[in-house]
Amino acid sequence: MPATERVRLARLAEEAVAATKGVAASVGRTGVWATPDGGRTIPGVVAIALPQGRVEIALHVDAIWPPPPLTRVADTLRDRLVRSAQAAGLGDRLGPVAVSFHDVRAPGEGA
Amino acid sequence: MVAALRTLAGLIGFLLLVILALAGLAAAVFSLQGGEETLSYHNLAHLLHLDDLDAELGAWLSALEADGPTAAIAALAGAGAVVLGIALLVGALVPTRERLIILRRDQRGDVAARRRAVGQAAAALAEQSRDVMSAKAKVRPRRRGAGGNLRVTANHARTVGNREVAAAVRERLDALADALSLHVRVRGRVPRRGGRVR
Repeated sequence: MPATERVRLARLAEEAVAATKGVAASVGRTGVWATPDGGRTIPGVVAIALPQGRVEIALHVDAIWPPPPLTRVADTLRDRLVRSAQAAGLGDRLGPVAVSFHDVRAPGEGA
Repeated sequence: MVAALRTLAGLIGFLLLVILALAGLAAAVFSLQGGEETLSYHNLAHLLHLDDLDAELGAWLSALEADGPTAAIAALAGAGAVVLGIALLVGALVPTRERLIILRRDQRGDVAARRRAVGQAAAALAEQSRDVMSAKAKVRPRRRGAGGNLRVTANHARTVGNREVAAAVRERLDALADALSLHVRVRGRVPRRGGRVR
């Protein structure tokens, strides 16, 4: 079954987080910050369908020690996601992208 | 081990609350009638085989049933218990939401950080300052708009003054404070004798 645009955008957001240095996805203590994608979940990404057919993406991440400049990392994440969404033909579907930093984590430490 | 004890404490607390709720319900139901009727306190005491207690409290229960100051105080206490119960239910059931520090807010979406993340970064920067042995940082987000207040306590050696240390730490935190719109307050102090230093 083909994935919905919401899930496709969530996957692109997951890739953007993985490709950005200094951050790692965070699912939170109760594991609620995730998007179901078939048999798995996309960690640290909450994709919300908006009424106008757009999708709001909330990225939940931990900063990796030493903490990078947070606003610059947020810009990098957003730009990366916008570019990949446009390349996938989903640029007009991407709504606001919120970025929340939840913790500072040592390199290699799990979520 | 601690997790198991926490679960046990939660379970016992829950059971005690259930018992308390059932006792309250019984007291409420058996207050519907007075005298020796079925739904009276006297009958409740009889059903629970507490006849001696009923004999002791009989006069007081009669005063409670009749109009008067005892009944008024009991009504007030009952209303207070109901309000307290509702408050406890709200406290137990309404989820808390941690206030995040808004770093930037625009139509592209919010950029926010949890207080702990910002506090850890600030403490680490403060500890990079010469003469600082350890630092603690507390962050409080602004109620409206971006940024917040950052309070840093830096423990340092006796050989330097509080002001010098505070100035050095403030300098270290300048970039972070500018980027996150934080109002910074730094306090230098010499740890107490025997005090722990991380």
